[in-house]
Amino acid sequence: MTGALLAAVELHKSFGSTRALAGVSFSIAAGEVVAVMGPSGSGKSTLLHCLSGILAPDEGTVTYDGHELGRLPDAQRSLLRRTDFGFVFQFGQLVPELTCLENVALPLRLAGAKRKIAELAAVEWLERLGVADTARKRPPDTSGGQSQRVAVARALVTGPKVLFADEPTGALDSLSGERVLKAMTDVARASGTAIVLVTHESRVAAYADREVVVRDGRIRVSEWQ
Amino acid sequence: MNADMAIGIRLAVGRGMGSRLAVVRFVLVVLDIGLCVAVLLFAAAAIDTIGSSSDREAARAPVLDKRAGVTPLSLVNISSAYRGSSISGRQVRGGPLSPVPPGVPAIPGPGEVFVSPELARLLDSDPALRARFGGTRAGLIEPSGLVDAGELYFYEGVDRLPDDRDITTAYAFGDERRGGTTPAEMILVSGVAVVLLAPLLVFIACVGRLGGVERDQRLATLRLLGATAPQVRRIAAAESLAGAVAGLAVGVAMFFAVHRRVDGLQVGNFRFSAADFVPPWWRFALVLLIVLVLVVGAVLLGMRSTVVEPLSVTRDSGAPMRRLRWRLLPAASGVAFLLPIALDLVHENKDVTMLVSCAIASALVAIPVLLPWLVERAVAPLTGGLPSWQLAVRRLQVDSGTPSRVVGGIAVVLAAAVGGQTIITSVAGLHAGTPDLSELQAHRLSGYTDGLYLLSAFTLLAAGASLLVLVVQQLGERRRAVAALSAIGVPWQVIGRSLLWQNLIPIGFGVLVANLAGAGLAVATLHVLGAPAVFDWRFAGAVSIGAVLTVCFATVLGIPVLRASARLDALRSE
Repeated sequence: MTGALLAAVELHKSFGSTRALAGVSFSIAAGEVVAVMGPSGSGKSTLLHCLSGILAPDEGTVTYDGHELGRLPDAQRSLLRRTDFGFVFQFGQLVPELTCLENVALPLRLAGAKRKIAELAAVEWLERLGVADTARKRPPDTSGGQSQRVAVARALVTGPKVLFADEPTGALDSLSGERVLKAMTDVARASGTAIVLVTHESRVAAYADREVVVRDGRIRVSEWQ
Repeated sequence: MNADMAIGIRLAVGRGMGSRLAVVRFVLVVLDIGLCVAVLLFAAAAIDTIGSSSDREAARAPVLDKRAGVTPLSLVNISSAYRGSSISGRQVRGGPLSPVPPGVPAIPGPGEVFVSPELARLLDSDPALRARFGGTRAGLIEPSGLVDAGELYFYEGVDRLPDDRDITTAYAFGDERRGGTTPAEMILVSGVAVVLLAPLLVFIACVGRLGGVERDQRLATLRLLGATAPQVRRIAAAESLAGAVAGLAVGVAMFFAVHRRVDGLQVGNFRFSAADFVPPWWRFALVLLIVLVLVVGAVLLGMRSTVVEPLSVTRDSGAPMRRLRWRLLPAASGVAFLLPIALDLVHENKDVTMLVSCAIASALVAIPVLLPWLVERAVAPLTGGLPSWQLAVRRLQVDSGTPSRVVGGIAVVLAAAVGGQTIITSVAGLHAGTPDLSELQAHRLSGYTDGLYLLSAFTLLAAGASLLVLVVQQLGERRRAVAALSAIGVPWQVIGRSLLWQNLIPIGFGVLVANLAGAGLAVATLHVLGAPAVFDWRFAGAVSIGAVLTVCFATVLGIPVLRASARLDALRSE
């Protein structure tokens, strides 16, 4: 795992009597796109949550840029999510009360940026993702594909080192899904952002440099594409 | 810090500009807080109105102690009935060195009469009445000499006072020992203040905390984007603050709009004067501050047991059932306040008054505290029944907290109204036939009854508005569940009836508890005052039915929102 930006060693995680992770090790290098595949309930989302510091593993360590996430206080982990990590989920992560532009500007404003500066950066990212026309709309007034691209713009606006995407196209039709994936991976590669892409679809995994398969809480296959 | 506040306010404004349902909800919350604020401001002013009329009453009470260099003013109190109202006044005889009663420029000479503006209006319109007051009108009595603007009062100068009446010899005016507020009245007035304040504050706190599910989702998203836990709390506080400020603005506007129209308004025997209805600036500011602190405090307190994480919000619900022990505290302290009186340990009037006031306040607080526990215990074993009943009971079994709190507020109003009315009826009964019960005291007691009706009506109105907000809010949060029920063929009428049951079950308990508590309070208070209790069941029935109808009405008003929620497109997820 030399040169890994983010590495997990022997992760174990259970929810009550259900074992979600049973000794998973994983690593990703800077700028790499890795697809984490597996059937429903295999533990891939739990792995993503542990890798991003949202969930604490019962056993094992997650190291990001030399820091062990489990040892960081909540404020530090919040800071990481604000500056170094980005997130895109299947649906529901945009704030419906805010316009798309304000949604994208939100992480910058939480970090203390002035509104105008944050919104200028947001406009730029909406343009890069091809959804500049949604800037003044609210998420409920946009299509699913547009919403997801806005979510990608929001995840990338802070220039994160790692983007965590959990079934980002799961709620979209195949054409919209392709567009979102292409925009996301193109833009991330151009900015040197690594992507942990959780999916159960091989057509989605095809956008990755490498794929790992999780089954019953363990990594079964890991291969380069 | 400023950025967090700005984001919170932006979220609140966004909520008000989002979907139509969100707009309806935001407007209702603002109107509800506004209504509560307006009633609170009137309550803050009413304390002065009651006080100022008592002060004016005391100011014209004669001082009987001899004073050097003063020619006493001899006077006889006269009162007569006129078309259901009472005309009262004084026949006076004095000299140049005699004291002048407040509100008149001089002692009327023989054959002269000073009348109150309202009596002057009556005299001008009724020749028969004019014939009874033979004197020449020397002028009008100014407000400082009248208990209220509607009082029918006169000072008539005479040569000779009637022999068959008690003649009072006044050396001055302004005897604070007479005409002032009695202990019973003090208890009533403080009771009324608590009655008004407590439930309104409960409503404001409930309404301020509404929208929890949506707020939780928003806050979880913010956490995912890197907001720290304190940042999330600041954002939530700012968000609730925006609604509270809008509500305050509406409340202040309502207060001033109604204030201008209140001048001369007659309620029973009491006529309002706008000049009396101006709370001092500090009390005005205090009401606004309390409301702000309450709304923000309720949100922050509600978040205390909540852990907002990036993926979800978890609540530390503690024990699976509400605990009874601490809920008994207010009721127990109510009894504790009465103990020293029952054991004959205190004798001073003001101590007794204070203890009884504290006991009343504690007992009233006990109602909304005990009601959620009672409702939860009562619905826990319920099963079966019609689908609407079953849906309602299951919902209450999952969460009866918020409806119980609002209904608890209504129950407080009921208890206080029933208790207050019983005390008034009993005190009036006690004094009936007592020669020393002045006209004014009788007048005031009747004014309190009218006031009680009015205050109950206002607070029930505020309660109804809060309940409507609650219904609309709940339908918004459970939109998917309602749509799913509709999708499997449950008619909206069934869902509507279940909604009605959800509110009627707690109010049923509320009415029961309130009547028992109100009657209990009255019995305890009257025991202290040494009077037998006389229950006014008609009043209790009227306000109880009023409370139930308020609940029904608020639920029915929520039906259009229910029908909108039952549309199947609410099931669409993308």
